[in-house]
Amino acid sequence: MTMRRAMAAAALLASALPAPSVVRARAAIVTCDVLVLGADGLPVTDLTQRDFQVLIDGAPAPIAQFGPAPTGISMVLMIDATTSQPLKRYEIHAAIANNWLPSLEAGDRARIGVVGGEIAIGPWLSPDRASNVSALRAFVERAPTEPSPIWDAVDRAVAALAGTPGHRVIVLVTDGRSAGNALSLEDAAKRAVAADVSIGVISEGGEQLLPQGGDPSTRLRPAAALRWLADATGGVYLEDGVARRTASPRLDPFGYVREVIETPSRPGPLLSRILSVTRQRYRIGFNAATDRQVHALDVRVSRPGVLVIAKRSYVAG
Amino acid sequence: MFRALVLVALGSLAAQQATFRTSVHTVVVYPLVVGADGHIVTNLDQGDFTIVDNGAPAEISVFSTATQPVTAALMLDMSASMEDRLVRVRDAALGFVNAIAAADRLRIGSFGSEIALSPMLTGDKTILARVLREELWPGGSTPLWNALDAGMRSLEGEAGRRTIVVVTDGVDTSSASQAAVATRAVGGLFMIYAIGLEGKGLSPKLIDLIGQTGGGHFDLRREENLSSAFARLADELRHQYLVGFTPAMLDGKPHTLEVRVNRPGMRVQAPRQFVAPLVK
Repeated sequence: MTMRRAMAAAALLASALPAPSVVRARAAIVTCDVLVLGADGLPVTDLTQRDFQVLIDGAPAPIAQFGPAPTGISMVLMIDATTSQPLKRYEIHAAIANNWLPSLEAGDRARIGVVGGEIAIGPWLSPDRASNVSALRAFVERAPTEPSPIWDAVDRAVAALAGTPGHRVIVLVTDGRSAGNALSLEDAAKRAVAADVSIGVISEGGEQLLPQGGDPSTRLRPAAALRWLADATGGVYLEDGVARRTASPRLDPFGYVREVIETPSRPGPLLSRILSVTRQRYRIGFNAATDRQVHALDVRVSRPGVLVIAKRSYVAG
Repeated sequence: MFRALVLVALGSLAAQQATFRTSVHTVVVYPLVVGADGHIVTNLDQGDFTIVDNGAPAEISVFSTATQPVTAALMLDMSASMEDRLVRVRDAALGFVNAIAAADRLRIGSFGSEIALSPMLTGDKTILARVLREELWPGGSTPLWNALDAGMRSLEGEAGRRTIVVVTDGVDTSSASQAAVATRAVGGLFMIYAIGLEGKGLSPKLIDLIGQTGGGHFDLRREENLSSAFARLADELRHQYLVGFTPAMLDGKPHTLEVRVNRPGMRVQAPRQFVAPLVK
């Protein structure tokens, strides 16, 4: 992450918060969970404190705490079950039942939510896997022609995680074609950062190139917003294989079908992977003024060729 | 369900607008008058209008030429056939949003693989522009009538002039019941406007419904400017008269309505039906 991007993210978040009339600048330890992925995509777990550097608003800050992050997770799995989402219902069911639920560990707390015309978040799952699978079938139903208020759903999930222990994470499975929201993407990210919730995303990725008559073509990149959301909140962004909608049905009526056949969806392994890597984070603490302001945060690792995933801003106090 | 549009009170509007107090039995309509040359006629007064309720003249109890605030759902066709018009439609809609007055409120909606309506009914142009930039995704079929229905339902709790503006390139391909949608439109005194982009054109059923509601439609050819159609639409909405009357029979039933102008060569665009309030 570049400093410019971090500063921009912080400025964006700052614009959402009321400016305090009196700034009380006490100091407190602020923590940030950091995931480091190697070039092979696997977590790098042998780093030491000396490998990390923290910059707050562009200035280096000493690391006051360092160690592995607690493995317990409080999670809401938000499934986009609307019509535009290319995942079939059975694919969603299978991914949750065969991959996600078995990947939960003792100490985890998890709920499942659905993005649709009605945003629904189920109760905390019980330790009984069979009953969870049974409840899932009725819960994750596809509703025809309903909107996809993805950002509002994220915010509902953030609220559902308020006060929960452990690393608070939302995993969003969606195509990113968001519509019918009261909140903007930026507002949803701001609220998630303020609540210290990271948002992981499993997206179909890709883009559509749309000719516009005699005008320049336009590109639709619904995944771009999802990647930004994950980056801003320190979440993991994964794409579900090759994008399915690259071909324009109008230009090549069979291209879309070929793509679907050739690139079967595999959300299950990706759900397992998000859970796995989320448990292999470092927790870094640093002293920060509790001024209730949004600050840009940039966590760097000295080892070359690694990807650092951490939230890009924080609100202290 | 039939529901007459009954204004209890329009309340205090913006400074340039008059305040009206009407009884719960008053039916308010918003006729547009167009001259023989196609220009909107704005200099008529109450004496120029005649209301005919179920064939009998009715006394006009409320009249105004002041600009009325717009409460509208702007429904944009985002079916697959609109893919190559996405930027054109979005940019023209942004222009429409920029042109609305302070008291106007819009809700942006789209229809295609999904029917999506913003929960924000607002005059905040920043929010409206954000919705247009973030939430238009072409693809899927054309559930045009279902989208009209969704737009009307989203405005059901609103008072005043309630308008649905639909921008589409074709005919419905996937809606359920057109009759129920028409019933809701007429019963609720919704005004429906449609901008038909080049393509199959607006269907005769839709054009008929538009006429029933007192709205209007614009059929564009490829070389014609969508922004100009939006501008004409905005012009029409700003120059409608407000005419209120009490039906002779408060029977809760559909009535025929004719709004006449006592000047030759003028065309009146107004609802042809309404549902009278029910008084037992």
